[in-house]
Amino acid sequence: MENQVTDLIQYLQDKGVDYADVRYVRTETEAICTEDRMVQELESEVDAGIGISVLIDGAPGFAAVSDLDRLKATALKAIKIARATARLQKNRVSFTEREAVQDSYLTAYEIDPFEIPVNEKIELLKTAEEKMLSQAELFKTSGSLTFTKITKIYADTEGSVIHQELLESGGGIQATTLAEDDMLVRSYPCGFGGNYATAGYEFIEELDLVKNAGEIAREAAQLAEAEECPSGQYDLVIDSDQMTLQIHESVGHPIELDRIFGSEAAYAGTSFLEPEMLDEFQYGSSRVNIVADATTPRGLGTFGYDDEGVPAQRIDIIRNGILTGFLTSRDTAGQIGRTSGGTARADGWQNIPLIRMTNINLEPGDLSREELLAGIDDGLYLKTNRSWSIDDKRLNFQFGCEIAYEIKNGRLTGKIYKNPVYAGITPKFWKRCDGIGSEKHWQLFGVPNCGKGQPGQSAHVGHGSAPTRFRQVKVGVKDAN
Amino acid sequence: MLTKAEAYLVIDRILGWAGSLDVQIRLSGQDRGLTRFAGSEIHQNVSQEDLTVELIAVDGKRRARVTTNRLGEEDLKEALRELQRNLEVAPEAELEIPFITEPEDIYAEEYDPGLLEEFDIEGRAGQLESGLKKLQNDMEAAGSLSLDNGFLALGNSSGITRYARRTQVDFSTVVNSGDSTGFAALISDKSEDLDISRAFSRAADKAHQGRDPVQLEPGSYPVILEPLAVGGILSYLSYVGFSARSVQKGMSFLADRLGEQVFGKNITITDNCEHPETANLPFDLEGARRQKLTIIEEGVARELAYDLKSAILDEKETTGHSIGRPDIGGFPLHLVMEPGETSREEMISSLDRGLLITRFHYMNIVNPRQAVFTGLTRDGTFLIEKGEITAPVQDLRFTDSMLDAFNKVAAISPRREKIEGFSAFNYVPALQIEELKFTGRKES
Repeated sequence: MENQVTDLIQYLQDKGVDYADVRYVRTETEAICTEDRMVQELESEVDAGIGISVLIDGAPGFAAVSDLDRLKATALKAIKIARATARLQKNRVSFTEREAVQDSYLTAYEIDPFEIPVNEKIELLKTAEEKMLSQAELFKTSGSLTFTKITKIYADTEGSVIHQELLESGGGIQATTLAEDDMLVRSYPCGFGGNYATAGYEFIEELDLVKNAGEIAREAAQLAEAEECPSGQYDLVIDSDQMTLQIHESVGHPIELDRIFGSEAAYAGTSFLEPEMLDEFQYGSSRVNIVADATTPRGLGTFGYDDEGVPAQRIDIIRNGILTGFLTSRDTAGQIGRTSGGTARADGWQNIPLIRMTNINLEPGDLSREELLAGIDDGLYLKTNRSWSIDDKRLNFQFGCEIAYEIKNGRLTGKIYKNPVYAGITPKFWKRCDGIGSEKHWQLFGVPNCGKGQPGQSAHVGHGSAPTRFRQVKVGVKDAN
Repeated sequence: MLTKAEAYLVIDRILGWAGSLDVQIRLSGQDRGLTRFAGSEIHQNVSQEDLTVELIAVDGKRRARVTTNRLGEEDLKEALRELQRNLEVAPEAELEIPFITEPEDIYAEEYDPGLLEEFDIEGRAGQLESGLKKLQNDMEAAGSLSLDNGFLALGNSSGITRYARRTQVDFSTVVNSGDSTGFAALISDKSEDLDISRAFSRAADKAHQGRDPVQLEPGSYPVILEPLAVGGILSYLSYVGFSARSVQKGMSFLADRLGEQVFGKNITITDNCEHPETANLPFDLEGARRQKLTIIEEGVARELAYDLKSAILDEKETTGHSIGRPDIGGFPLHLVMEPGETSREEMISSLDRGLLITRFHYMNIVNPRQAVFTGLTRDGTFLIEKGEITAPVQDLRFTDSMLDAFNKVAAISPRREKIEGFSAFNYVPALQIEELKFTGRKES
């Protein structure tokens, strides 16, 4: 396949384009879903094709095709599209410099999940469901496992040829109960299909779904009897699984430089951030340190090179509460006087690379779990995302969680509440952060469905954090702020 | 783009290779061109061509699925071998779900050839060029214009065949005028519906009217929701509540409420792919004929959308609403909300104080059983006082039960618009609602 990719680069050069890159992507997926101890879905998928990007006099064009017998026709289509772009273009696209490389990258893993027999995986999910049902009276139980193998061959007219093999594994379980006019869920290890990592089947074994099934089953049953979460201003400790969405929506998206420049204005929205805020703007309290790290071991946003051939990097985003970096690509970085941070990634062969999160991680603090709780007289410990919404500038957010644990006088009382919802304004909220759990409590979660772009693209990204304390946050929707 | 005859030939060939395996074959082809613009210039311009085959095999209560876009003979034979292997290891499910057996053939080949000419690569650039010229110098526009040209074909071991062509144009723009934005969107399979320049002007008017917005305190306000805002809510109501599967999962606000008055008597919602203003896709992704559903009739919950599995569980027949995802079940894709008699202008003049809302952003479900949704107003929110629009308003977040809101619909417009849904488009009017609860506001 590499020869077809490099031959196509030569063909495009012969056609006189100023720049071109060609990406062959083959994605193999296996998905197993169970519900009420029955297999709901057993699916295998192979998806492959080639995406061709060209620049002609600074005008971009992109064409992609799954039929590998139509590569030259598709290359000519990309050229035609670039010429149409030039009709309505004010600013020529130009790329920041980077070294051409010939390299390869392979996800580190121990056990190839595609080598594990399907019935063994099904048995794991069914056993976890049986454990849930043995612990509590439930309306429904479910589980899922997903494995993805991605082969990428990238070449460009600047001389780079890069071969990458990425492997992802993910899974989770869920218990559901019903109460009057209410449906309550508890999920492990997090909501919406579980946790994902660039890793092999050893990651699934480490999740230990069966061992953790009992606790979420019991909590789901308790939620059916629990009171509605009270409304008011509360001190919160937010668990890592919910911090994942908090970081994703209120830090990860606003720092995308294409969004800041307005590329997503009509669809996903823009950002409250501006380039001039770099190294000046106080995003959060001095305890807040956030990095975009595409090298985090096992992160779902970990890779060798992005889809513009730029090496994976670790970039400071927020240091001691001050905004210090953005997520950038080759065409945006130069506009703020920097080089690409290597975060341009495409969903498959059929899409252009966009600026996407890598692993946006909140660095650990120094507090034990007890110390986090100790500073709270009357508060809540929130766990596991259930709903999310944020405005088009990424300021006004509202999150729902599966469960809230009451904190009184520095300790968990054992009382739980259902349907907690909290809301805030991004920088005001992050300035209220006054405690972060230590490295011992730091956890990494993978989000396999980050949406952006038109046509819609889904990115695989990661977020690491420890439980984090925020002071006086609005909880509930009964009292308008 | 495969024609009906070509698609059926591919299906026949795969069925031949499948031998005695009981298999359903779904072929879907897509040729999509999408031109994106921001800052009033094209910044992304793309084309995607794909052809995918989905193979489902059943053996009693065992079931497996393999999908591939590698269509060489050896690739497809390997996909069939993998299907066979997966089927052998798949444990028995609780139900046997046989494939559809009748009618023998359903097809819809009609499409508007004008779309392919007007909205090809050059056509899209030209349409945008003309539309953007109409904007004032201090305005900038962002958005996209796409042409989707595709087909869906299906066949199975029982000998049924299905084919439908799908050709559709989708346009949307946000016009930015400094401290305000305005939005307009068009979606249709008919070129007569697609006046791109006029849509740009509508968005520009909204942006112009939106300059110097005032801040309102959150609280409950009477609202007029334009069709875009209504369409957003309707899509989520459908997702969370209108399928039998969502009732079976305990998620739907219609659980145990069929036959009951759930919305106001002025609300009637159907799903009807034969309505002239919806897309013509006469069969679902299991090959069943798509039936008209009366989901809400004068406020009473009547019918739910079924696929094969959810229908067997409820001892009913499928209504032909499968989207190929048994975990989601039936899903209405052609929603039509019945019109009323009060124009948008009459709604405005009837309000002493309230809000006019163009659309919502990032809607999500806070509590599915109570149909509590949240989201933010966007790209055109206005204060109405004493029957007139008096000021633009900075965006607000609503969090409220749609069961409450749809019981407080004071008026419905006679004019309806095609609004993008989760797939294809729905046909909806504007609504005047006595009160909607706003729980926060966007800060600049």
